[in-house]
Amino acid sequence: MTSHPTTDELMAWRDTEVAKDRAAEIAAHVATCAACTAAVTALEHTSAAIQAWRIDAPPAMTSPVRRRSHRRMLYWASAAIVIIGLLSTVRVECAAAAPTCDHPQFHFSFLRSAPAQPAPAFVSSGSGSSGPAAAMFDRDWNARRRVKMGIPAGEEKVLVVMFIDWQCPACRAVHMSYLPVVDAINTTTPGAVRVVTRDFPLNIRCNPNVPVEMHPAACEAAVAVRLARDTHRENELIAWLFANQATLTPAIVRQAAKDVAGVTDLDARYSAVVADVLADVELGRKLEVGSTPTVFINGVLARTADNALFSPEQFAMALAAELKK
Amino acid sequence: MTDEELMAACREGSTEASSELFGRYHSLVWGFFRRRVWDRARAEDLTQETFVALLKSAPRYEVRAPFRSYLFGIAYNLLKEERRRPGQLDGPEALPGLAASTPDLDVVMHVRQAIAGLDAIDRDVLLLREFETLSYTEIATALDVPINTVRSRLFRARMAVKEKLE
Repeated sequence: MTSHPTTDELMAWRDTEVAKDRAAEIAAHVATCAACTAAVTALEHTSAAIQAWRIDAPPAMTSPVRRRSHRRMLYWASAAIVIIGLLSTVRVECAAAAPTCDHPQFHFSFLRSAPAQPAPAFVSSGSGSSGPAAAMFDRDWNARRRVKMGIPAGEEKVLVVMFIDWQCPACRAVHMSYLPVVDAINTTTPGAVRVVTRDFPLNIRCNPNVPVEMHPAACEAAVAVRLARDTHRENELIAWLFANQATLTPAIVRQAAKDVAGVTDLDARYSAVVADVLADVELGRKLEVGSTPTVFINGVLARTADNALFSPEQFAMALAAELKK
Repeated sequence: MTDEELMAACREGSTEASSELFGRYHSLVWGFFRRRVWDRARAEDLTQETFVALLKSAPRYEVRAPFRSYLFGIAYNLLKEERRRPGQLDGPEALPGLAASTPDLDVVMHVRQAIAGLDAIDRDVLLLREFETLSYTEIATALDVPINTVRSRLFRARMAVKEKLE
């Protein structure tokens, strides 16, 4: 028997990356050597495990060549619109000045630092939920798809489910701006709206949908908040986590859980509690949660048509639409 | 026609050739970005940008260069630019690549955890080999590193993943 190839060489041989003559020698050796066969099998198992990472199908895309011709059509269409616009300048200017042209958007995107958007005119003008804009909103809202959340219904009329990562700045913004809206409604109609948070930490250690440890302390934060419910210090811990998001590490969260919420057994209970976090993550995956925060109101996704988060005003209008039912 | 011949036809302005190349490779390029870029829409944009850049550079393409390393060289350069964008890792707007039909989430979680723990170049080499199925030479050309580096880094990456999975 020839001498054993190195594991590195076996890998290259398996990848058909060694010269023909040497490949024949290695093949002859492996055929009679149990140790090398085992090494090759182990390499194959590793590759097979890696291949388990499947991705979603590619979106329908067109070749850039076709897109360019598409763009040419768009260019000429735009030019035609400009020419028509110039021929009817007065009408266009009037339309542009109308307040209904304002498009409400609420950017919490942490990819882009979009400037703060003014509140939509139809909300700030005090039209409440009864104006034409609200009627338009209601029509759009009521036509949306509803999904089953898998959360037992209670006495509430509206169930709000928020998929949250406690280290996510957008979650902080949504949490802090949506909850006062809920509180205001519940003050006048006690128990009308119930808010349930579900964990969707952006960290591969407790969320297989995430490729990296995007938010390093997100798993510990999710576990700590759950444990803080037992000590009735959940809100205090959430406020502390939000205030210190940028500097959170697993160790800092453990310490805060102890100092702020009196949770002294986080490490001991971590494995058990993280299983519950994973259950939330799995629910989120089934519901096609694509980012944090993702908010559902009675099973309807609370996002604009271009996938921006609802402004607090839009959130209020959606709640109002549900309460009317 | 081979990829290289199609690329030569693109150089002459053939739209059929470019459409054919797009048809052959857009899924693979999509997968390349989908496993590396958090934002799904951004992965889609980068896939398109890769083909736009490919067509733009067609007049400079030399037929002797292996097409796949040329294509993934472009994709890799776009990826490097993407990684330099401020706040890149802080902006999830879509789920990273994970098929809804993933059969065994536990295994995938461990695999991805293992891959996430690799050095960036080791990870790129491993993924180019496992998913884009590039040869060592093609990887070396795409990443502009010596072929021995590809082999040693691939070995290191696979051993690290194997160890993690054990």
